[in-house]
Parts: sequence; structure tokens; C-alpha cells
Amino acid sequence: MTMPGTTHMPIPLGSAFSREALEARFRDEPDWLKTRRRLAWERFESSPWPSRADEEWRRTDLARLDYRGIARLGGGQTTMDGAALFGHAPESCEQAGPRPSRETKFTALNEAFAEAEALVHVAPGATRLASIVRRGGEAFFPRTLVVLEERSEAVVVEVEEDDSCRSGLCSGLAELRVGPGAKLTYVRVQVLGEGVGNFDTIQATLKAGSDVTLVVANAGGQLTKQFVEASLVGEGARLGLFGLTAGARSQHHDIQATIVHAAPSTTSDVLYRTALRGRARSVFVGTIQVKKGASKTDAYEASRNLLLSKEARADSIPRLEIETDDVRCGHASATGPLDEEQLFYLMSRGLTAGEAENLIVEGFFADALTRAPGGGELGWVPDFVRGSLMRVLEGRDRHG
Amino acid sequence: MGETILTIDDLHVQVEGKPILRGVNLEVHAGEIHAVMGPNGAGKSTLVQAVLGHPRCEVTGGRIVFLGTDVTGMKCDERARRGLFLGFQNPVAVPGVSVANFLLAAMGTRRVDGQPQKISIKEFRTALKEKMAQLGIGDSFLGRSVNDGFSGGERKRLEVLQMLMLGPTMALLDETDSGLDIDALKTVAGAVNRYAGSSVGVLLVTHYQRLLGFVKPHRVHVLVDGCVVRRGGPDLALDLESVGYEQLAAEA
Ligand SMILES: Nc1ncnc2c1ncn2[C@@H]1O[C@H](COP(=O)(O)OP(=O)(O)OP(=O)(O)O)[C@@H](O)[C@H]1O
Ligand SMILES: [Mg+2]
Repeated sequence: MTMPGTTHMPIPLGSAFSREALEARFRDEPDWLKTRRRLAWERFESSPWPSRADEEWRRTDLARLDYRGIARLGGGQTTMDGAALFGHAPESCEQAGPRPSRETKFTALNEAFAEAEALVHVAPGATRLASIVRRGGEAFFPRTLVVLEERSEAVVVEVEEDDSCRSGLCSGLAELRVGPGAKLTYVRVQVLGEGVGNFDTIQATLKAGSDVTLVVANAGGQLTKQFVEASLVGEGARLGLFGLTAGARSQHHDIQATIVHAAPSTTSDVLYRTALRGRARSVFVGTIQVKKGASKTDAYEASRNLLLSKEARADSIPRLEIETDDVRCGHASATGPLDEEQLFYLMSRGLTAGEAENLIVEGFFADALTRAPGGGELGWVPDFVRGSLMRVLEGRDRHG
Repeated sequence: MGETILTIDDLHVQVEGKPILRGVNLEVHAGEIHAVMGPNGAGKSTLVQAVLGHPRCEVTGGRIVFLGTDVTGMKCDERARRGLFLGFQNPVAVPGVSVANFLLAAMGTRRVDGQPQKISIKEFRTALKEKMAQLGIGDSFLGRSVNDGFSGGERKRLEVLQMLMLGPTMALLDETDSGLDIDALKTVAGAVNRYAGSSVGVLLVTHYQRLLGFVKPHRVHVLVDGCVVRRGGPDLALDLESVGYEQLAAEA
């Protein structure tokens, strides 16, 4: 099915995807923002669709997507706490919102149609707790910029949800700029509707001595293509990236994580857990790049896939691109079915097959899940993440 | 003689197409402790796993009757809810599932006369604390993943803790004594002795006379190559120490 060298057919788009629709929709905005949108729209129109010739797109088939039925771009509801709306904050113009490290057709579309852009700006030495909950329309464009100044600390939880089943589009961009000595925990939970094509980029820049924990859960959507990129540009920066993915039916999750060590004595720890049922499919490509001069890098990447049905398929592809000596880099990956001995053990204590399976699957996610912040105001977060994943995977009793 | 609790009737079992049990008969009454002994590979674990309904154990003949009901075709969880319990020879690790959550989930499945038994968190805690103290298990156990990174002795204690918490009518303990130091062995044997009362049945699979010094079985069955070749009282275990299985099997 995947043939490198062939180009994706353009995704069929309806009249909502037009310059006229853009002008009409954002008529009342300030000029600088309108200009930004127009320029982005022009770049969207002039840039090519991703091609299967691109290595990073070759495992995801866009051919079945059809967005002619989408009548309106944008919309949806965003609830924020601890974050400001971009355009309403004085620093907005300077910050200019999140910037993708590499523009694609999807990030250009995101910039053209984004609404309710969130800005979390934490002053030097300050602390912040922020939550951003986005409930999507037919097509929506989450856009978030998190800026942590020197020695500040923040926990930011962002949820993308949509409980409809219709075909939809979500194209998001989140940028996390983490200043020297700052500490950030960013949790993303994606629970989009069953028919949604989700194209997403999360990118982080880590300055010297900063400490970043990313917990990224994907449970919803029909198709997800997610780029998670972290650049450790300052000496001694530390990154933990914990991914949790659940898939059922014919869901397709294609996750590309790239960690760039560009400064000495930087540390990264990547842990992905994926559980699939039905005919779901996942791809995880984890790339660790160690640039020249990034000596004493310590990087480790592990991914494990649990297949709850015979038809499910998961691929983990680790890549190490190391340009310097004196580094420690490692990776591990494993894919397998549910362990029959574990199942028998739990069932021998009276749990039904479904209950036993659920417990094993929850256990499978546990080590990545414990990295999500909990307690106090954030007490709901781990349960919410667990619940989002488990709803997709609910055990045998229901599925027979 | 007490009520019949478990009847294993001419049981034939294959594992992956290979015959392992070749017509095993065994009957346990309320108030009795039985011991099953035999050389490595004789089929002892296969026997107790078949009684619990391990999907790998294919019953090709005979039946298993528990409290008057033929359970031979039943799923494992159904047998467990009816009051059968297996203490595993090699309890498997379940990473990410804490002992506390696991025990709570298991307790939630208990049935008495077919009715679900509700237990409050408070009652659960109280019962748990008491049994843990009895077995010399520390609180730190509860937050650890089930059997994950446990020493051999810790695993066995957790099996016995589960038995005490679930309160089965019939407990099959597969080499629960192996891997225990002498103090742990005494603790576990004490717990088994206390547990074995007038209304329950206990079946111990063991290699060692050592355990039988602390737990007095009413009957000893010697399993060799999938068949019971000898039965007797507690003294049979002593004979085995001196004679060995091979000679015993030859004599049979
Ligand atoms: N998973 C399995 N697949 C194939 N054969 C198995 C499996 N488990 C056990 N067997 C075989 O079944 C036979 C009986 O094994 P079983 O574990 O019941 O013996 P045992 O009496 O408990 O031995 P031990 O004293 O070593 O615990 C052995 O020949 C063993 O190789
Ligand atoms: Mg055995």
C-alpha cells in the first residue's frame, strides 16, 4: 500500500477552505492579525500536500480523507484557566504566536484559521498552573504558545476533545519555549471524535538547565499524524517525554518524536506505550539526534506496544543520529499480545476476562501515566488520561 | 468424614497435544489437608492448574466436581468465584498493577451462595492489615506492582495473603513452601494450619518433607508421570525421603 515516490492526492476540500471564507470570518479582527492570516492562507495554497516520497509521511495514507463536507472552519469552544487569549495580551504581537520549525500545509492552515489561540506566559521566577480545554467544531485549529521565562515553573494541561462521529479536521500547533532553569510539565490529551483527521505538532525548545516533562496521550480521532519535537539547546537541559496511545476500530496513529541534543550534558528519556485493539494501527518513529559538541549527552528511548487483537498492528522505529563521541544513547522496543499467564493469574482470583484485561492494560500504561502531575488542583488529570485511554480499549466482556 | 469438597475423577489432560495427566483420581473432604508429591515434570502443576481451568490444560477425559457441581467446562474466573483458589508455583508479575488495587479488585469478585459480597474499603483495610501482620508483610508491599521484582519468598507470601483474604473453600497451593527460609516457612505453615479448618479443603503440592513437619496432611498422593502411583498417610512422605520416587514408581 505504501509506495515511496508517489505523491499524495490532494485532500478534496469544500468551499469553506477559501480566501473568501477567511475574509468573511475574521472581518472584525485587527489588521495585523488579518494580514497574518492572509499570508498564511497564501502559503497554504502554494505549498504542496505532503508526499509519500517524504520519509516521515510514507506510513500514513491521506487518500481516504475528504473534507468537501466541512461547511465551516473554526468554531468550537475553548475554556482557559491560567492562559490568555492571543491578541488580548500585550506581549502577543512581539511573541507572534507559535512558530513551526518546519512549515507544512497543515501548520499554514492552522495559522490562517486559528481561533482562541492560547498564550501562557510565565514571568521570571513565577509559577503558573494553566488548563486549556478545546472542544472542536467540524474543523478546528488549536494553537498554543507557552513561554517560560528564566527559573519560572508551570504545569499546563491541554485537552482536545470532540465527541461527534462525523468526519472532521483538527490541525494543531503548540510551541513550548522554556527558558534557562525553568521547569515545565505539559500534558496533552487528545480525545477527538471518531471521524477526525488530526494533524498536530508539539515542539519544545529547552534552554540551559531547564527541565521539561511532556505527557502526550492520543486516544481519539480516526487518523492522527503527530510530530513531537524537542530541542535541547542549553547545557544541562533535561527532557522526559511520555507517550500514551490507545487505538481501536480502524484508528491510525502515526507519531513522530524527534529529540535534538544540541548542547553538552543534556538528558532525554522517552517512553511510549501504545495499546491497540480491533484493526487499529500505530507507527512510532523515535529519533534521537546528538549534534556535534553535545558531549555527555544521555539519551534513552523505549517504546512498548500491546496488541489486544490479532488484526492490530504496531511498528516502533528507533533512530539514533549521533555526531559526537562521549555520549550515552540507548533504545529498546517490544511488541506483543496480552500475556496469557497474567490473564490466567488475574482470572484465577475471580476477575472476568474483561476485568483482567482492563487491569493489565491499565498497568501497561501506568509507568508513563505516573509522570502526569496529580494531586491538589490537578487531581483529575491522571484519572482523566487513564479514562480517555481505557474508554477506547474497554475489555473483552463488551467486545466478545 | 466431612462433606465432599473436590472430586477429581479419572482426569486426563493434554498440554499442547501432549498427554500429561493420565487418569488422576483424588477426593478432598471438608477439614482435610492433602499433599501431592512427585518428581519434576510429573504433572503436579498441570493438575492444580487444570482444576482451576487454565486454558492451556485441555481436559480430554474425566471431570472435576467442586461442591457437587461439575466445573470441568467452566471458565477459570467462574471457578474462582465459586471458591476455588490456586497458589501459584511461579506467580507472574503484573507490572503497573499495585498489590492493593489487585486485592481490592479480587475481593470485589467474591460470591457467597452466588451473591456478590459487598465489602467496604474500611473493612477491606482492616482485614488486610490483620492478615499482613499475620504473614509478616510490611505496608510497603501494597504500593508495589504485583509480583514485580518480588523475591521468591515475597511472591509466596503474597499468594498466601490472597488465600487468606479471599477465603476460598478449596485452596490448592503449588509449592508455596519452596523458596522460603525457615522462618518464612513456619509463618506460612502456621497460616495454612489456621486456615485449614473443619469447613475447607487444602491441597499442598510440595517436594519437601520439611513443610510436612509443620503442616500435617491427612493424605499424601504420589504423582509420577501423570498417574497417582501411591497413596498413604503422613508417613508416606517420610518413606519418599529414603526411597525416592523412582523406586516407588517401580514398586507400584
Ligand atoms: N507450557 C507448557 N508447554 C508444554 N509443556 C508443558 C508446559 N508446561 C508444562 N509442560 C510439561 O508438562 C509436564 C508436567 O509439567 P508440570 O509443570 O505439571 O510438572 P510438575 O510436576 O509441576 O513439575 P515441578 O516439580 O518441576 O514443578 C512436563 O513434561 C512439562 O514439560
Ligand atoms: Mg510444578
